Amino acid sequence: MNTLGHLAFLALGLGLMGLPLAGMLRALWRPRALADHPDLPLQTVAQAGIARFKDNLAQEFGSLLALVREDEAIRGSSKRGVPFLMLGGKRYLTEQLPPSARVLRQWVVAARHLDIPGELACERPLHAEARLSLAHNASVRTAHAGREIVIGPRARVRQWASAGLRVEAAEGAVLHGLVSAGREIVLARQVRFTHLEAPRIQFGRALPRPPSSSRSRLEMDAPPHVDVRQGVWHVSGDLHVPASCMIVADLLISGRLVLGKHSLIRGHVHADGTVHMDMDASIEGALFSKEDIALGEGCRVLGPLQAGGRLGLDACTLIGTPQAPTTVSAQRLLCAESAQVHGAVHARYSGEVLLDVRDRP
Amino acid sequence: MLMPCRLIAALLGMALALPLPGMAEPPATGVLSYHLGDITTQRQPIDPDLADPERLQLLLSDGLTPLPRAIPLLPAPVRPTPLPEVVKEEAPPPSANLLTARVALALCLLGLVLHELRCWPPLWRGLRQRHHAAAITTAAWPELSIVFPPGHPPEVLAQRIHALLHSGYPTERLYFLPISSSTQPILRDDIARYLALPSERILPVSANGRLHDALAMLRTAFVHAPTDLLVVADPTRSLLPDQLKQAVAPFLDPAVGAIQGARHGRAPATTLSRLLDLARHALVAQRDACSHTRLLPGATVLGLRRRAALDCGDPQNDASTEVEFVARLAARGWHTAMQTAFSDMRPSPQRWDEYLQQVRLGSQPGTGGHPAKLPLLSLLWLGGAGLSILMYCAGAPVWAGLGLLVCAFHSFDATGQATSLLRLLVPARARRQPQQLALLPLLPLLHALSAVHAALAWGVGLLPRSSRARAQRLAATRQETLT
Repeated sequence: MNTLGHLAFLALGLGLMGLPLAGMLRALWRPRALADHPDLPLQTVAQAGIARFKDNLAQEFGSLLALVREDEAIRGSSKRGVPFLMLGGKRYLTEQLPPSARVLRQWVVAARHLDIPGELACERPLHAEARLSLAHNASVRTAHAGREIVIGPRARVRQWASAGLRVEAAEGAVLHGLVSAGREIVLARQVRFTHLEAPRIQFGRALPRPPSSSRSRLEMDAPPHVDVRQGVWHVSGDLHVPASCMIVADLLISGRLVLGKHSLIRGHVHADGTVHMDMDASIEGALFSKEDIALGEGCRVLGPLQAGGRLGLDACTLIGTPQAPTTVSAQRLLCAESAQVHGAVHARYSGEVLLDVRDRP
Repeated sequence: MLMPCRLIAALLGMALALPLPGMAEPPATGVLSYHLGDITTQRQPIDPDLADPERLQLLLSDGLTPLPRAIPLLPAPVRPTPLPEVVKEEAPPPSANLLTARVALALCLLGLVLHELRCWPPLWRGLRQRHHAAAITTAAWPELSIVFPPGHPPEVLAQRIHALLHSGYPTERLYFLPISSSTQPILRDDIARYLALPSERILPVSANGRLHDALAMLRTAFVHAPTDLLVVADPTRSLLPDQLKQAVAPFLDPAVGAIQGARHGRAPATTLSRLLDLARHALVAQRDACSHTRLLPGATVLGLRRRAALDCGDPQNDASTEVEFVARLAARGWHTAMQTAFSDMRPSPQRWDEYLQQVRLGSQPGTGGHPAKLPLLSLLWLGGAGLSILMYCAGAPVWAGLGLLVCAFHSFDATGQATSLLRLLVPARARRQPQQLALLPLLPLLHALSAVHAALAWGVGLLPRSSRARAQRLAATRQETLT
C-alpha cells in the first residue's frame, strides 16, 4: 500500500465523519421559513381554496353571470389569461364541445344547471348556480354548486367539491379532498372518500331499524385496578364493561376497552389500546384511541371520535347529533350502510362505504 | 440529498479499501494444451506444441468445422511450464493487537446495529400512533378561560378580545381574564366599554409579584377561572380564523392535561439564537414524531386543564418550573399536546441549563421521551470510525471498509447519540420537516462547546463567567440599591 492510498483513505474517513454536519451547513446556508404547525389539516387548505374560488368567481364573473342568464354562451379569457365558458340557462355543455372532446381545459360557469358528460376530464374549476351533475366516469378537479352536486357512478373528484345544500355520490365514485355541503351528503355503496363535512352525512341507504327499548342500566363501581382521581378513572390495563352497565366518569385506559351490549359511558374516553363497542352501546362524550375502534350495530357516540388505526362503523351507528356536530377521524374508515355522522369525517388514508352484508351472496 | 452523497462516499470507501492493481499477483494457473491426432483434411501441419488453445479454436472454427467425429481431441501430456520463481512471503501471523482491534471493531459495529434494530419498533409504533387532534374541526367546543399577560392597556385588551370573539369560537363559551398588577389594576368596565359584551365575561385578576412565565400566569388565574380549561393568549400577536379552535382542539382528548407552545415568536437577533431556535425546533419535531408527544423540551405551557393541575398538587402553592410541572403531569399519566400556532409568549431564550434539564427529564423512563442512556452509542460510533482507519493502515482493508460503511450511515440526534440516517429521515418525512432534522447535529456540538466553556470558566478560570451570572449579579445589586 502506498502513501497516496493512505492519505486518500484518511481524507475519506475524515470526510465521512464530517458528513453529519453537511446537511446542517446546507440548512443554515439556505434557511427557509419554519412551518408553524405541520399538522394543519389539509381540510384547512381546501377551505382556503374554496374561499379563494368564490372570491375569483365574484370578481371576474359576477357581472358576466348577470348577462349570460338571458344570453347565449360566452367564451373568453379571464384577467389572468385563463379561458372560460359561460353557459346561459338554456344552454348545455355538450353543445359547446366537439364530439371527440375528452379533456376540458376551460373554466365553466353555468347560470343554472351544468351537466358534465361521461368520460370527460375537466382540468379547470366548474361552477353552477343551481345543480351540477357529473355523469359516469367523469373526472373533475374542483366543483362548486349553489344548490346540489350529483356525482355519477365511478366519477372522480380530485381536489374539492362544495355545494350549498346537498352532495350525492353514486356507486363507485371516488372523492379525493374535501367534499362539503350545507345540508347533507349522501354516499352510495363502494364510494371512497377522504374528507367530508356536512351537518348530516349518510353512508349508503337508510335501513329501517326498530328503536332500541329504553333499558335500566346499573351503575358500575370502579374495579380494584382502577385509580380514581379528580373524577377520572385511570385504568392500568384493560377494562371490560358488562352489558347494561353505566359509568359516569372520564376514562383514561392504558389497555383495551370492551363495552357490552346496551352499556353506557357518560364521560370522555381515551384508550391506548383497541376499543370494541357491542350492539347498542353508547358513549356520551369523546372517544379517542391510539389503535382500532369497532362500533357495533346501533352504537352511538357524541364525539369527537378519533382512531389512530382503523375505524369501523356498523349499520345504524350514529356519531354526533344535529344540535352538536362533531368530528370523526381515523387512518382508515370502513362504514356499513345506514351509518350516520353529523359534522366532519376525516379519513387520513382512505374511507369506504361497504356493501351491506345482506346483499352479499 | 445527503443520503446519495453518503452512499457514494461509502461505496468509494469500499472501492478504495479493495486491493489496488499490482498489489498482489493473481495465482499461477496451469497451461492447458491439446494434441491433435491425425488431421487428414488439414493442409498445413499444425505443430501441436506451438498451438495455443485460442489459435486452435480459431482454426477449428475456420476450416475444420466439419471435422469427422472420429478425430479425437486428446489432452496432451502435461508438461510443466517453467514458472517464474516467486519468492512467497509467508504472511506473518496476525498479531494480538490486530486481533484485538478486529474484535473491538466487530463489537462496535454489532452494538450499533443491535441498537438500531432495537429502536425501530417503538419508532414505527410512534409514527403510527401520533396525536391528530389538529384534525378536529367541528365539535361541541368546551367553555374556555383566556388569560392575558400583564402589561397591556385596556384598549389593546379590548381589541384582542374583539378579535377572539370573531374567531369562530362560540362566544357564549368564552371568559376573559386579563392579569394586571395590584398597583395599577384594570377594572372590568375599562375593557367592557369598548365592547358589546356582557361584563360578567371579563374577570380581571390582580397579581402581586412578577409573573415570569405562562405557567405562573395560569396558576394566578386558576382560582378566578370559572371553566375547566385555561389558555394564555398573547395580545400582541395576530389571530387567524379558527386558530382558537385549533388551540383548544387537543383538549377534547380527555388524556391531554396541558398544551405547549414553542418559543420562537420573534425573530432572533443573533446568529447563535437563530441556530438555537432551529435546533430546538428540530428536537421538538423529532420527539413529537418518535414519541407520543408527552413531554416537549424547549416549549412553554400555554394551556392547562384544571383537573390535571389539581391531580399534580395544589397549583396555588406549587413553585415548580414548567419543565418539572410537565414532567409531573407525564408521570401522573397525562399527555401534553403541541400547539405552536396560537401564542408565543417570549423571545427565544438562551437558557441552556434549563434546556439540558428538560432533555434530562425527557430521558426519564415513563415520560414518553427517549430512554435513559449514556453517550455509549456515540463512543461506539467514534470507536468504529477510528478503528476502521487503524485497520486500513494495519492491512485489513475489508474490515476497514465495512466499518466506514456502517459509520457513514449514522448521524447524531439531539442528545448526542449516534443515530442512523434512516431513523432521522423517516420521522422527518412524516413531519415534513427534513430541514429542521438536518440541524440535529448542532445540538451535541453546542453541548460540547458549552461544556468546554463551562470547564474553562469554572475550572481553569481563564474566561469570564457567563453573561447570565453577570446579569443575575447586576440584578441583585440593583435590588439591593433599590431597597
